[in-house]
Amino acid sequence: MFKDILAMSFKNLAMNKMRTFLTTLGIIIGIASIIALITIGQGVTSSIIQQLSGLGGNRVTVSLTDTRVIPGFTEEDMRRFEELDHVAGVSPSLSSTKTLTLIPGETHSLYDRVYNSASRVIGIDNYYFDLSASPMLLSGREIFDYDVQNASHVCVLGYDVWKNLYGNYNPIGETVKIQNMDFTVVGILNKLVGLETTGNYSVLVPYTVAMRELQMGLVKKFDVVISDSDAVSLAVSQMSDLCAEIVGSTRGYSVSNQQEVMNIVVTITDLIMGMLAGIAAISLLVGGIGIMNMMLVSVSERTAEIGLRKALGAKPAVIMFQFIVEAVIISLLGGILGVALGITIAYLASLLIGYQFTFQASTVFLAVGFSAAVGLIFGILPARKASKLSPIDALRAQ
Amino acid sequence: MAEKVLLSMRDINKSYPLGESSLQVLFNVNFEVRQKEFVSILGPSGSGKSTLMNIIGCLDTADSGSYVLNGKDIGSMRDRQLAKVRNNDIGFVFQQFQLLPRMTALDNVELPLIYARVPTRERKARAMVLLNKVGLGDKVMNKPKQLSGGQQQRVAIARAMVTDPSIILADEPTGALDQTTGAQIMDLFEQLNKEGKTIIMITHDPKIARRAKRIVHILDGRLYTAEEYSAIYDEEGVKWEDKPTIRSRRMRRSGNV
Repeated sequence: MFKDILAMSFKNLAMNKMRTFLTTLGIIIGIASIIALITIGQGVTSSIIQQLSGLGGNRVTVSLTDTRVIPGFTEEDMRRFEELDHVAGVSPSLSSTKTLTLIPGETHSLYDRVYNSASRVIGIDNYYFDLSASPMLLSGREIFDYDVQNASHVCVLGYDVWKNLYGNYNPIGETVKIQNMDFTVVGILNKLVGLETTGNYSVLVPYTVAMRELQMGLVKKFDVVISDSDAVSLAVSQMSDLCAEIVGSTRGYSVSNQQEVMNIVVTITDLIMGMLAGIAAISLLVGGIGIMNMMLVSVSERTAEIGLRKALGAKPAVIMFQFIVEAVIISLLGGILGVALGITIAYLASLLIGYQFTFQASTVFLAVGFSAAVGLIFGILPARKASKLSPIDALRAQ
Repeated sequence: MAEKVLLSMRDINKSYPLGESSLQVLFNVNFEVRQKEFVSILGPSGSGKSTLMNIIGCLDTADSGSYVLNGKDIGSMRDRQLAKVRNNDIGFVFQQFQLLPRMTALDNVELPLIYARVPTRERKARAMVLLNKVGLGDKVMNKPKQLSGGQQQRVAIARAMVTDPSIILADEPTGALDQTTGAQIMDLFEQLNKEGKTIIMITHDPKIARRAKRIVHILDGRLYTAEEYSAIYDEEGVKWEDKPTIRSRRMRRSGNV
């Protein structure tokens, strides 16, 4: 009998193709928007996490927020941080805008004249290249510890700087002038995405050179790499004490763990995606109401039919079942088409925005199950109405 | 008439709520039908015959009294059980045929068997047999719209018989048909009755009612046998006692002059 009822339901829905399609559309839109948002959300979040994961949980950033207290940290100050327990190393970073000069003959740039440009110069050490899990270098080599110790005049070009100065040509081994000092280009950075994007339009030099020769002042911000990730919170408190000692105040500086930053970012993206999915769920609700509306119309249109079926021996439960099956078919159909549409949208969005497209089977099952539930819930009321019709009244209504 | 009693009603009362009071439609109805009988229930509109039919057909239940159909006590049954009785024991034939317009003649005849959970192949075979019997063997794939009124009623009769019910309950079966077609349908009922089917027919038309073997009259919610009825009413349905006698007519005339 189930087979027969299913066949009857399909026949009924096929009779009113336009109406069925429009009702299904409500569910399609609802499910598609939920799927698209969840998939985009998962993709973006996982991209961000991937970008951030290089920062690692065992990096603690010490930064000076008020330079009126002290002008900055000296190399000596940083050495004291390095000597703390559980500290693997200190990675300072100082940046300033400097004049970059390219002279034809000394270098093979895009310009056939002396070319000056103002560019951000960042003094770093080798830890900088651990910032991202994906490879930081497009070509060439990193700035190594011995470059820092020897204060060698080497630099790594950010992606945009390279494009701007050299187009697609290989700049490695070329000489550029920063504040009229010669620097040898040893590498090019990959295009950075995510949080740390300043590197794209910067020139990286060893921080010792930046401090001593380029006169970029003292270090305002540096990362401390902790050797043991279990000891992070202990190290953070030690570092806070040390900071207070150096600064001579309890204010004007901050010690923050990257993991916290990452957690905050993930929390925020989750929150935003949850909110968007919630809004999308409202459209699914509207779709469900659409189903209910259509089913109610269908019940009153088919009053005589229902009466006849009852007269011929259809039990109330059978009538109810038939109408619920119709509602569930519509919503399941909408769910399946909605999943397909949603995944397509998410895929296209991944091409546009440039995050990694991933989709999880669990999302699909969830969505299809959810849509079936919508059909069931919004089908019950009309189906009950149909099953409770008195056969006498129903037969009389023609 | 030694056939066993198929349907037995005792002191059936039925009233409907009407505003704050209620309107009693049936008064102490006693009614009995034996197997292989062909009974017509004759009455004008408003006499309560539709209500009686609904109760006989288990579409409605009485307020009081007992109703036993084919050995089953109907009065104590719930919706679900009533549906089963309608499916097994009763074959309905309606004035407006009540075929589902989107389904073929065959599908329409099969419908009660779906609810009886008969397997597909057997269902089709049984429906075909009955459509052949009512003379529509060549029209089984036609939809109701493609059939004449008489043919539609034949499909409905085939549907009524497909579950092999104890009684066929026909409600004004010729009401929507012309004289000739109506007569043909009545011929079909007579033939079915000869073959042993029990038929109860409800009508307001004395000419149609006379095709049955027995007539029961219903008037103002009360049932009368043909003899009781003719003792109270004349052929036109006027009470004998309400008829002016010659004497009273004379008296009235002389008094007025």
